[in-house]
Amino acid sequence: MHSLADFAAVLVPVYVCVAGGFLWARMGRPIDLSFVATFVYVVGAPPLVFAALKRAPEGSVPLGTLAEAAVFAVALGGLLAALVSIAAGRRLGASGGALALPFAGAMGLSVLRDALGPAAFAQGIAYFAVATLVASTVGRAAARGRWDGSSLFGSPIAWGMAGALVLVALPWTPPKFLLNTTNLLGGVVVPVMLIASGVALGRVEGTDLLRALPSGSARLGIGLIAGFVVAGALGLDGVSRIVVVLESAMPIAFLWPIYAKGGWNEFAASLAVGLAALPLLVAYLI
Amino acid sequence: MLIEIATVLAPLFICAGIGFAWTRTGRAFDAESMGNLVGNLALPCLVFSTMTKYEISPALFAHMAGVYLGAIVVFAAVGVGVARALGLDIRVYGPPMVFSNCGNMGLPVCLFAFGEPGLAAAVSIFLTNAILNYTFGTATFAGKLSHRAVTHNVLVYAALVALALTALGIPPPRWLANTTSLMGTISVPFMIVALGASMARLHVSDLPRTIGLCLFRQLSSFAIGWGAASLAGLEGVERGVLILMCSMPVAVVNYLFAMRYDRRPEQVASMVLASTVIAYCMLPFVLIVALPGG
Repeated sequence: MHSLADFAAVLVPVYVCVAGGFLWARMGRPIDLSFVATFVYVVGAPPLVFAALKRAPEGSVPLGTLAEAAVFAVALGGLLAALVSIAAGRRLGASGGALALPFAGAMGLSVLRDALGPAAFAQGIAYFAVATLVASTVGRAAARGRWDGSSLFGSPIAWGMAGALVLVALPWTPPKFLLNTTNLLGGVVVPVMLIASGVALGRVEGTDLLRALPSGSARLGIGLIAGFVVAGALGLDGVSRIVVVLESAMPIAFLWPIYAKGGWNEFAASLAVGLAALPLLVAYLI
Repeated sequence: MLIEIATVLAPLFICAGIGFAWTRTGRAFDAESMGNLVGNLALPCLVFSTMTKYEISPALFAHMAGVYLGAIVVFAAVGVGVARALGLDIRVYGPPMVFSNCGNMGLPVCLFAFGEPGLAAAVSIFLTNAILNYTFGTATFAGKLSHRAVTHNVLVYAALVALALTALGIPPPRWLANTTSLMGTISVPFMIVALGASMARLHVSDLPRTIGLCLFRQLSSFAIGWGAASLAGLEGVERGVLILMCSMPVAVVNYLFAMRYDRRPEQVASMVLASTVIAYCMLPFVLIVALPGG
């Protein structure tokens, strides 16, 4: 970041999209967040992963390393969240899962694209794909409090994401029309999820938000620790390190309150903390 | 040419197919709320972003809008003439004969056919069609005219600001360009998916007459567009965009207006569905004419 204009060019899109959703909710306009999340994650996210990773130059995205980093960061986040939950005397499934899973598909991706360009965006997408896969399997089971096959493997989001990763890993060159189509569909993910998170924030009362602030702050702390530790342990540097730390430090995953059918206050609080911390994170990391 | 046409058509078919399948498999599709969000936030951003990015001058904007306005007058004359000759109610059949789906289908088709410059050229036609559909189209269904379609339309203000910046030679700041570009990306895919979802909910009644009427509508609109482009001396992207936009099917919004004002909505729905299917089938041939060298 060289100037205030660079800084604004990266951060303003995030704040405006969230503010758009916030105002939408405050104006009392209806929107079904469960539909939005399901639609975006089923129809938009797999094409986003496919298009971004297949368009990236050969060898520019260390997919395996980033997948490893995402799994380790979520696992370490889960461990830390469990410790925090136990210390706070709360049910593990309800708060532990929420604090472990980052919302990797919105703020972080927007920042990576506008600040560091398509190559960093593609690396962010790799992290997002694996984080979403974890959230829609293990996270879904934790949120529902049921560890059966249907909870673990019954989500179309998980199958869509797994399918996209398999298609990315296969050695083939997709036709132009497929790249165009997937790029088009994938384009909805980041802006819609930013707006949807603004709607979720706008629906929460101020007092509820304040009450949930400790959880929101804990997510940021846990995510930062997990991101730095994993990036250090795997010896990541440059763009990969930025991707892992930034994506790990994102607010509570949007899918969590959808699966848990609750916990929007904690999500909104973590979003508010994340939005407040974003300029500092960007200034420090990039 | 075949590969070019397939590259244009594939995203349309795939995205509309997703919307169609989503609805047909019984999943909820919150078209109204998302449509409002896209119409009020994403689409104005897309209009602003493409107009400023491709520096659409007020002169080009006015020229394209003017030529399309001329085409609409001919659509209206032909449409009203045919409806009268067949003894059909103008208040039901008039707007569907005149106003096309320049948004959900026209903008994406122009984008896929000509890239972002095509989208930029299509914006003036889209706005002209939308404003007239929301004023005169609604007035025909409702029986009264309202200025709110212009004064309460964010799209109009987005276009005016973009035109003013371009006329003054002022590029938008990077934060504004990035923001509008990000939000604008929602519009096109959502519009096509929503089109597919609406198609899944509509049914055709009075099949032979509906198909005959829509076939006539689509063929005559294409011919009028082609003629208007030649008369106006349009070339390249502008020519192709005008022909494509004129060849679009009945706008879905007419079905909503017909429902709101109780003007035989089942008939309008039939026209939307039949004309969309015909337009999809005609599109390869329209593209052969509209693409450079056609």
